[in-house]
Amino acid sequence: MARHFLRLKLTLLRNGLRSNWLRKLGIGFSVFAWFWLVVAALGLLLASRSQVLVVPLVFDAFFLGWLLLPLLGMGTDETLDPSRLALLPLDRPALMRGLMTASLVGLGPIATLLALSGTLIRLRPGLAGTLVIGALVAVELLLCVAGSRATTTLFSGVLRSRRGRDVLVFVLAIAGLVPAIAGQIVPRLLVSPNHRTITVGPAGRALYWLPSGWLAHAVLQARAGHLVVALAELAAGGAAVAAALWLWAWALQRALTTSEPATAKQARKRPGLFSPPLSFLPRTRTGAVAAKEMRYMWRDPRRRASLLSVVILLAFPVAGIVMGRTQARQLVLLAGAGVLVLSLQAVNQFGLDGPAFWMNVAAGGDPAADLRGKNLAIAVPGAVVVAVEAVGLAALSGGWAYIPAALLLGAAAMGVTLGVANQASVLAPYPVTDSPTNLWGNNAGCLTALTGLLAMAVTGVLLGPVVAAVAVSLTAWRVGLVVVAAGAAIYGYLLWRLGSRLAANRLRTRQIEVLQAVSGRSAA
Amino acid sequence: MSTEGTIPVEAPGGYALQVRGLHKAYGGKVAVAALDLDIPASTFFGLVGPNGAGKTTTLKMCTGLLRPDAGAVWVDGTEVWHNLVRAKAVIGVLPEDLLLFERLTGSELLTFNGLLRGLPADTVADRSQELLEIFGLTDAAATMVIDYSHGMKKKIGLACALIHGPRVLFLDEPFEAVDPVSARSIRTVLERHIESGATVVFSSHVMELVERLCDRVAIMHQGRLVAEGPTDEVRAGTSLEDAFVRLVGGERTSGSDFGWLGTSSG
Repeated sequence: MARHFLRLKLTLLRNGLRSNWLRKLGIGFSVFAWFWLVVAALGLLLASRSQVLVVPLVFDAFFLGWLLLPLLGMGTDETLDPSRLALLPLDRPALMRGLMTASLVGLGPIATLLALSGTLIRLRPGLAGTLVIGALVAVELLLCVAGSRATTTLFSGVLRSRRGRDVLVFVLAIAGLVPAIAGQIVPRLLVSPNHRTITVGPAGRALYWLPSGWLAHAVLQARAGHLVVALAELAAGGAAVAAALWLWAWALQRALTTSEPATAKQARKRPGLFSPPLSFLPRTRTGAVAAKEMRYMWRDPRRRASLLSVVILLAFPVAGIVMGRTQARQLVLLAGAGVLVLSLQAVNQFGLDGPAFWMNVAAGGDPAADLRGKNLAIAVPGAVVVAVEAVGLAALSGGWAYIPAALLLGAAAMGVTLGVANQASVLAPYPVTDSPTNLWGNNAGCLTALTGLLAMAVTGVLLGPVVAAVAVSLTAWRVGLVVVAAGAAIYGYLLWRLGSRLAANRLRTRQIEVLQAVSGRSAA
Repeated sequence: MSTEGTIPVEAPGGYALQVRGLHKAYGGKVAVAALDLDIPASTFFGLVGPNGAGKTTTLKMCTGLLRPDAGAVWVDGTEVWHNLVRAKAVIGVLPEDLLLFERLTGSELLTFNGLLRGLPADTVADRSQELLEIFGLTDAAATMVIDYSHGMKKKIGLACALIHGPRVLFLDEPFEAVDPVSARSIRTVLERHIESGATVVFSSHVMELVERLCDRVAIMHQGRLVAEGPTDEVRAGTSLEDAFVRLVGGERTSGSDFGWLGTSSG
């Protein structure tokens, strides 16, 4: 049976190389990603002075990566989903042998082995040590693969449910913050009492808590010649592999014989389209579109994640004051910058609707109302964000006098960015998929980045005069700052009107083409 | 559109739907080839054909959702591609793929659609309530559409298509994967819609249903109509399924008798 699974895996790998260029690009990307992971791990292992930190760090990172990344939909393949095999008349041990063999083939296992073999190169143990460390590396690989199988199988049902996918998309969307957080944490794991030797601090000892940490500890013990301790820890690692296999077997049995959780039965009751806090919106097409957009801002995990990232970005100037890095009262003027981040989400306003945009197209009427509604849905939370941020910054810095100018500058920023974003939305719409495994569009990553960058560049150029005028006013004519800001707000409004009018004109004649563009392949 | 400018804005006859020379190709592949079609008002019209026959493409071009390469479509006397806004005001659509704004609740989606159509807010509220009741969705009104079953999604999609009281209703596979109870409520609403003088054009694979419901039927194959007329005439004394298989040439026999089927010993 293992032979059939091996052949299936090899066929899938081969077919991947034969498929269209987008798929090949995806494969190229994963080769690239694994290559750099190996280089990074080897670099750390070979160059670092502190093996007590680096060895467990690399062992734990690979273990956790194997455990968590497949859950996030990364590096998954068809052989991972047990539900695809439910109908085959296979007993559990045969199924597990087959799945285990298939998962030991591929880029991931090879890259893991290569990266972990860095310990052998760096530590240069004797013959016995080499044998023990080789066995430890092999057990670590088995632990990674068995652990990964166990978790994906354990969560396969949840991940197929709507709520599970929502959580997944949300986690993925904020995953971009991980490097920043890791950058804060890793240095704190070390202690350097005399600035010469580096040892693992109390927090760093947590690295040895995981089974992969035991194996890493065993590697260091083997290097130090404590082979008995190393072998005992190797046995403990083997027991962890056995436990992972048992968990996997149990989860496999459950996954093959139970159905997906039914979300509908526990679904929460929700109020109407215009219920508070949206009851102020007009009961028109514009109001309906704005209400729908604002409800989506909270209900769609992708948009909720963007909202969260805006809040996190806005916290930076506040943190600057709180941590005593700056006390400048002019910082209040930065409140308007939050709008820029929020409005950047508007560069592909119809793409977020996706194929469901047909409802607007089929309704006829003036599509300019859709654009106004979408803008309103950004302007309202935008205004709240600017006001709260301005008041917060003023309270911390004492720069209350800057609040009127900050609000006006926020309006200017909003006008300019929305004017540009409306143009971008109509000129270069692209599909945004709901798939949890491919968050940023139907392989339209390049287009997404390009449209975003272009829109940002144009916005930057158009906001240039505003920034210059504010800078001049701050240095030469501080009392006139409000006048300058009011002028900027009028400038922003005019640019919004211009951008929106041009975009609406284009939308009136090209609405079907926009629909096709945002529907992706399903358009035909 | 190549024929733009030569098409009369007014319809040639008093039909609910008229199509002349409708043509669409994707790359080199012709999806719909010079299609002509007349559907009288107050008709239950069935469009049938094998997969890839061009039914969905035809319905999309008739409803202003896909630009044709050539040809003209009149809905209730208005040429769709000359006056999209006026034509869309009398059209209701239910696409096959049911791509709705699924993170709105059923009731919110109806409100959203009614206001998109420019209806007054109180009319939207009244009609939404009626539609939710008639389709048995009142209990699910405050549940997000993403949590609906397939049949419920079809019903809420149909409710959205009906909220503005369209003169001509285009439905792409409205009965596909729908349970018998939901299918019955959809049928009841559609029959009532026809009685009010409106026209229903729908595509389907379920031949028995088309045979039972439709006054007129058209069979499409490879982008062309191979038969069109009153249902009794098209089936010509046989069942519609037999007529369909005969017309699209689908009855193939194989040399093998599959003698091994059902021989597994476990």
